[in-house]
Amino acid sequence: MSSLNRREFLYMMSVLGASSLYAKSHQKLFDVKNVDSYYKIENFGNARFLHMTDCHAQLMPVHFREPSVNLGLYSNYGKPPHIVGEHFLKYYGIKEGSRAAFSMTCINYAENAKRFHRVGGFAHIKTLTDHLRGSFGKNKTLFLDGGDTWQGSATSLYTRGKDMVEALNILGVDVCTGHWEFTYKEKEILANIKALKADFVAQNVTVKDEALMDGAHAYNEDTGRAFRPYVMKKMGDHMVAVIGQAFPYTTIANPQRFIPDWSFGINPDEMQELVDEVRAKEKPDAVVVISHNGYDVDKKMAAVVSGIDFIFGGHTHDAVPEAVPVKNSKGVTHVINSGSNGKFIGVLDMDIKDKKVRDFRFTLMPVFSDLLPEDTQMKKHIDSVRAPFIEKLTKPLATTDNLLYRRGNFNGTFDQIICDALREVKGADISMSPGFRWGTSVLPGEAITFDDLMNHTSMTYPETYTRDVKGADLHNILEDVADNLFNKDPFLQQGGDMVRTGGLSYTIDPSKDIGKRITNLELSSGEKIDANRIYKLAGWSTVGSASTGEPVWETVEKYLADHKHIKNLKLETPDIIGVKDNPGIQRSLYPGKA
Amino acid sequence: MKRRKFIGLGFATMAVTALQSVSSASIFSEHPKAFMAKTGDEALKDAYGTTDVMKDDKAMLKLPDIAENGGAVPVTVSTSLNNAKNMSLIIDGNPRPLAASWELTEGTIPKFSTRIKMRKTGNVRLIVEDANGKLHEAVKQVKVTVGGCGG
Repeated sequence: MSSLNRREFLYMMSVLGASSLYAKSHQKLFDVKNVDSYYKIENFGNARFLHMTDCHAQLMPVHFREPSVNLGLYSNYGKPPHIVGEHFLKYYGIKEGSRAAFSMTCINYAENAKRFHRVGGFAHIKTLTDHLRGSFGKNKTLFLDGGDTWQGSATSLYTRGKDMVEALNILGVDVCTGHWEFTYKEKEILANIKALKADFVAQNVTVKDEALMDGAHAYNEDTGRAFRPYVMKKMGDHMVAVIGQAFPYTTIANPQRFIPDWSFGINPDEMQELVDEVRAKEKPDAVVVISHNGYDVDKKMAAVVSGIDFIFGGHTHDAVPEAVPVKNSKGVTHVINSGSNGKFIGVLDMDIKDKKVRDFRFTLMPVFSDLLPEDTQMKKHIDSVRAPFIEKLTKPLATTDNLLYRRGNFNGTFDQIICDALREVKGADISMSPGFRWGTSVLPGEAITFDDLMNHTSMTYPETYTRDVKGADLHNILEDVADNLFNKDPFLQQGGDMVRTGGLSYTIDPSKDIGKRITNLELSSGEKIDANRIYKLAGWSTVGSASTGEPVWETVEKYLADHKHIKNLKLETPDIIGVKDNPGIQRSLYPGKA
Repeated sequence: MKRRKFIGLGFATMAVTALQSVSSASIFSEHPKAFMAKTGDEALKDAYGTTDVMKDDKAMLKLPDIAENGGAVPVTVSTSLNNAKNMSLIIDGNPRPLAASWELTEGTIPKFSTRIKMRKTGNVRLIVEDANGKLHEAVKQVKVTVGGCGG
């Protein structure tokens, strides 16, 4: 099937420089000496899973800089995915300046991006996944998508996620679950799921009792579940159960107003009951979960629920090149996370025998757009989706000297532009922008296009606001969001990064309890924040009720038109206490004290 | 049975139970101060005459880790004890912590679901009074956020 020819393989192999040291990785992934390896990895066992997650509707190849700050605390201190930059290279034995280093870390990002070009892109992903499926056996391969697929680009918003549903259909994805999918309206979501050829599964979304009384549709009225909780799939001679776990905090982190009938939660007790029921009733050869919990939440779920073989996780956008084992009362569950933005395909080969997974190989495979040829059918779809808007999408709004990115626990440079724009255009003292983990990168010397801007702002509740806020309340907001990120209990972590601030600096001690993490709140003038004074705050993306201001991309577009060129961007990041030796921060790239 | 019909039946049953509670000797009629108490322990003291509780697995409390809506947090209370006399729900962070009390007459299945209003993050406690008048407690913290930024 594949349009990869031998010469292309050879090229790929010669440019990938790093040895694969990870436990249970396929042979010779990054250290390829023989022509038949790299994208044509050595087959193992009798069932292959392909895993993609959090592509955020990036149909086109992207730049996406991995975080330089992704702190792990308590039991997750120094554990994947809380290892970044040089610490990551050292931990996994990857050579600096290699393609592997470029795809998985922030080190010399701009320089490496110019050498290795963009990653991902659905036309390239299609070529790779068709190849991985074809070379192993179509009837033995299952393709899972972990959600955050219908949101994140201009065209996904303009088509209400339909462009991505069609892309998933062309790609041949078999099973999906969701998160940002639920930021469209209930009717649109149900119509999209209907149009989706893949099974949409979620055990942890229920229809509220009062909605049921009013006649709302449920997949199962007895359990109250809104969607099919699991699906049985035939893989060669084996039957595998795939259980869905949608993002548990959708109705807290995102607006409830679009989906008033549905209730979400981690629901670990229900997960255990379901696993037991599926094991007893279906007698599966293996049980896997396609999850949007986030990495640390998945690890805790793997510890408290038994009977799951693998969790294919997402949400926290972590590119982790190994399957991490977690012990529980009855055995071991392995947790996988396959990055974001279409940068990676996770490949898991299982050896199943006598209703048991005897052994496996896992490889996180980067999607290099300059190495993989485009699939023509997917390319055609992407072109047709973009054609009506192409002039607007490709319009340069400004140029930049700085590398622009978002991902990381604190302000990224693209957030800084959004925060600066909100303050300047709206005449506010302080601005705030949510700590989303999506948002692609723009290289120094490049133009910032409308596409780029929408990759950071495209969503169904982009309205801006300005309001008067007391100093004490500013403090409360920061404490609340910090607790969602750094709470000791992973089940209380919502998986976003810290709220981005403009005109406001502070010190944070992530290891403290809520109410005690944030100190030294100051305006950018150096003036201390007075708890009783009123400040003018500008922001966007309100979860409670819709704000009335223009969509934030209009605010930023105006700002970029006024400035035309971004240079000497001053990144406002907090001083961090207690992280000096934490491998979750690349201190050489951190502008604050840490 | 369809869940829809079952829920309908549930509402009818609840109305009957409420009538029974009013007609029997209830905490509300015998200890009117308990519902006005400003701390959970004050309410306990007034309702049961003691704050001594056993933290065991006899009292069972099901609540979310984080509330989707602090104004209506779903809670299910139950007990594995036979012949328990009473169950009470205390929300420590609320201005009037005692939120509900159930008198268990003979033959009642001791399992109830309801919604509670929570002003802020804090502990929710279920107190079960067994046949001997001893108190059993289950505690669960529920977080009420000011607004998330998930992504």
